[in-house]
Amino acid sequence: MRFFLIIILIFNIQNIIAQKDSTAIVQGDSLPVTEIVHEWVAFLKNTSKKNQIFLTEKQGSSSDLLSQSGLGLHLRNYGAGSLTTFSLNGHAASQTDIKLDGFSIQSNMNGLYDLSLLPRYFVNYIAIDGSSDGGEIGGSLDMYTSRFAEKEWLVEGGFSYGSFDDKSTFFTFNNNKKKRNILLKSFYRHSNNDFKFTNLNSIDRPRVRMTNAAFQQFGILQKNHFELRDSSFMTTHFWYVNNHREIPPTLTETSSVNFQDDALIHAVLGWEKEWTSQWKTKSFLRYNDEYIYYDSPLIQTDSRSRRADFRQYIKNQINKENSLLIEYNYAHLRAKVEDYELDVVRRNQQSLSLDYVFRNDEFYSKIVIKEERIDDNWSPFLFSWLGKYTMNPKRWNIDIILHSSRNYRFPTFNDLYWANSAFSGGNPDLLPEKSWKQEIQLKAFSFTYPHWNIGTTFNHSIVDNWILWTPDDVGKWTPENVKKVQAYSFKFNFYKEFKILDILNISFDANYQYTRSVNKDVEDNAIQTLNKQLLYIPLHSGGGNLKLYQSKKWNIMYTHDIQGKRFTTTDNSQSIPLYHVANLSFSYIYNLNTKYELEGVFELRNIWNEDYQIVANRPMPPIHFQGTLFLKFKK
Amino acid sequence: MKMNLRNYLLIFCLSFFMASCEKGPEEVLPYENGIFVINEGNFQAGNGSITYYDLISGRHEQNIFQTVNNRPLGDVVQSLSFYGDYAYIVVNNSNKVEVVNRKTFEEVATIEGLSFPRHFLAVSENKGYISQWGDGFTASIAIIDLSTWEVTSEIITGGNGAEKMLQIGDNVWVGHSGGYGNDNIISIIDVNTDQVTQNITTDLYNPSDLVLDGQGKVWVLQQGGCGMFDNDFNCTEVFNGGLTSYNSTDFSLSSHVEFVGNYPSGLCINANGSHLYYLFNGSVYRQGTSHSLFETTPWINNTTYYYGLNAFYDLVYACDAKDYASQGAVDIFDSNGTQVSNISSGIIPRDVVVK
Repeated sequence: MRFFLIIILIFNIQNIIAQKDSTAIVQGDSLPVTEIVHEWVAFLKNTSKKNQIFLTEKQGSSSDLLSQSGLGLHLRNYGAGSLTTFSLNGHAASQTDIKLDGFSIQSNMNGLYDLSLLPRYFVNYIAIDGSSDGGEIGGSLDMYTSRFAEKEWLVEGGFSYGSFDDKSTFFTFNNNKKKRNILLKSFYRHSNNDFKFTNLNSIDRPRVRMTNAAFQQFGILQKNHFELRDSSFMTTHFWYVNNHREIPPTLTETSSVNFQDDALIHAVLGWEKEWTSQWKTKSFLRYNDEYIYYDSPLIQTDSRSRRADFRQYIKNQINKENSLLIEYNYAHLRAKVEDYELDVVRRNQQSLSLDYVFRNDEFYSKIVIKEERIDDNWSPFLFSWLGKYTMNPKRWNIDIILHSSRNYRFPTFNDLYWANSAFSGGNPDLLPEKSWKQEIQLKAFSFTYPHWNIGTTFNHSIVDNWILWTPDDVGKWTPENVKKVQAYSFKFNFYKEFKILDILNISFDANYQYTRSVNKDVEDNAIQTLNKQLLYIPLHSGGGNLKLYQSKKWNIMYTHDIQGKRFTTTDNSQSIPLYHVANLSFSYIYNLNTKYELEGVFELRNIWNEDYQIVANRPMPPIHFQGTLFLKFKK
Repeated sequence: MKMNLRNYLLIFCLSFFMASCEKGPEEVLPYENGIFVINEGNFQAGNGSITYYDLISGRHEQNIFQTVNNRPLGDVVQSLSFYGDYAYIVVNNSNKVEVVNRKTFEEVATIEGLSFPRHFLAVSENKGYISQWGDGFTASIAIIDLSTWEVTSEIITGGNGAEKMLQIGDNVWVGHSGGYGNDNIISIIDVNTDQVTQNITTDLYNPSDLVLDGQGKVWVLQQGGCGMFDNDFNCTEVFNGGLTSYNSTDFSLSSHVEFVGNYPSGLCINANGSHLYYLFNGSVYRQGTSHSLFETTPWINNTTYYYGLNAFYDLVYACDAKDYASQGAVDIFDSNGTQVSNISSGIIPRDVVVK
């Protein structure tokens, strides 16, 4: 106990503070990511911390939401509409699973998901889960689409306008009866994105306007939830997004005429039944369809990948303290890409996992064992254990959490099937990447007002057979199992909420993360990259939020994000410097009467007008604004 | 006054401390009498650079353009030439030539309005030529006013993929690597009229590299290439490379050797013009300019696959790109083929210039 008190005291003195640990927030209408997440969310909800933040975060994509979160996350993009990838704890983006309502939505082709393609208007909660109990090497980003409202009727319309001719419109229709819920959302956005920036690569450092950077996006989300006669439930979920984006020149190019078109379909049919108080089942069918067309003067290529899943959950609540969950998943994946060796490539994969959970007031333990079969290949035996011990004083809790897992990642279609030519070629002999991961967390938080929490996390992993595309002696690029990588990170987070003058709420949170991710074993011709930090992973990152609000009326929020120096070459000989980016938002809710509500949001982004780059030679926008107005009818 | 050892030590430490506190203006060390390595960098990554190794002091600096000018050099650094008080750095995928002070490497001007430039050649005191690919099928020479560093005109060569240039008297020989296709011409341009006066048709395809030997012969390295690709971009019809010499006065063919295979590169010549060096399948070959027999075994017997090659003052500089993603190296050989030194470079070293 004395040890923990000392830690907390040190943190308070030094103001070393941070975020909401490796799992931030999650919504509860699907099976849990981890049970612990739910407890944490319940706590966050009690503080009403997130309810109002989301008023300011309807415009833009989910990547904007993450980049402006102040969570110090490792996002890689170059502004609105650009390809955005995400990684956790020093791993690669392709090793981090991106899930939508519990289903992986990464491309079959390259293992990545472009977060700019998911409108944040469709996303209710995002959970950042570093625990890897699904076997993911780099943890997962779990996104959950909008929930049904608590009222019978909700009709909402809105529009947004901002700098660089950034225009959006939004629409929601939601009807909730006793035995059915219907939700329809639509979204349209267009931006010229032609911001001015200082061209630091040019001799006179001129202010120039970005060219060929416009993008247009529209999408529709439709969800239904029905109670059937036998007291079972059926859910449907359909999501479609269409995207056209121009690809601007880098600072080292004079112009660009490149563009890319994307179309994504995601559909889920689910059936849930509680057979007895002990037995519960959930069944899902999922279909995912992704089309990409890329056009440049040298390359025109189109590709399409599809995926169909059947998933079955069986849960047995053995008793109050013990539960068992069996998950079976069958997936058929296929892709048709002009540059592949075969006309159409296919993959069948099945997985079976068993989760056992024990819990009482003080202890929580979750063991997951999983085996996966991909075509004729068996995965290694995957294992995850998460244990939590809660010390429960009268006014605040301390949680000690331990986690260890064995994880792996099978090569992507591009890795295996890219056509062999003089310049590049896939490698059908690739081995899967494998990793061991360990994590320890200490968290303390108060149950009573004023709320606060403080936490620290240490994460360590070793990844073997890291797949990397490298050129051979004659410059032909092929993927090889060339590296062994060690990644570890320390995180500290702090949150506090209190009231002044009995009406004004103030909340403050801050975080710091140290991430070291280095090559421990490399090919002979890359010995200069040994023990060097991986690309674009900053050693230091952090951020924070300061929010003033009056409950359910207005709020002002200041967000600050810091990313340290990031290396852009594997031998760490070149880098891009540290940057700070801050955003300020103001939102207000005006109740016209009991049924109508008007919401206004005004955001200033990059308020200190920082010249910065997240990706080398890709400038980011200067200070800019976004105004959004919503009219809501609810009954 | 009698001072003991302790006092001496104290004075020494204080003087050292005070000296370390003094901060005068940062000394800009010149870039003279050294080896300049041209590092291509990764395509579209904008991490091309120049490495400097001082032959007198042994000072070794990476990325000197960025160090001096506090900005990156650009994307795919192609070549470096010195003329007058300036150095001209051709940056291919940035469509520019950076003009810097030859001693300090401080930025002076940027020549813009180019289209995939490859090499710079000063043909007179006020005029320079820059070979450029254009769209890959319309090679041209941009004419530069060396007082304003602006493009004043353009010469269409009639070939694909204009490459290295060699001035002999009033004539500039322009090689062609085929651009995005193949080509078999060497253009001769009169520097007085800026007109193509003759196109020499070569037997083999893609005559890209040109050097002048001690006997007045122009040696041309033909890269060869691929005549036809299948759907997966595998070559189904190989055009062999070769080495050809021409009389520089009447442009007549002097000698001709065809290789079995394609894509030789890096043709260069020693100081007295007696030996040619080039790369074939990544190995260094040497050929006497007056030898009638053609050398068929590599001159350097090691396993390194070299990416670029040049020769200065009887030393041969072979560029090792290693993993093509991080720092490479340059192996330096004497005229006996013995490795005498090795220096680290930037990413994908492709050429060396010694000044």
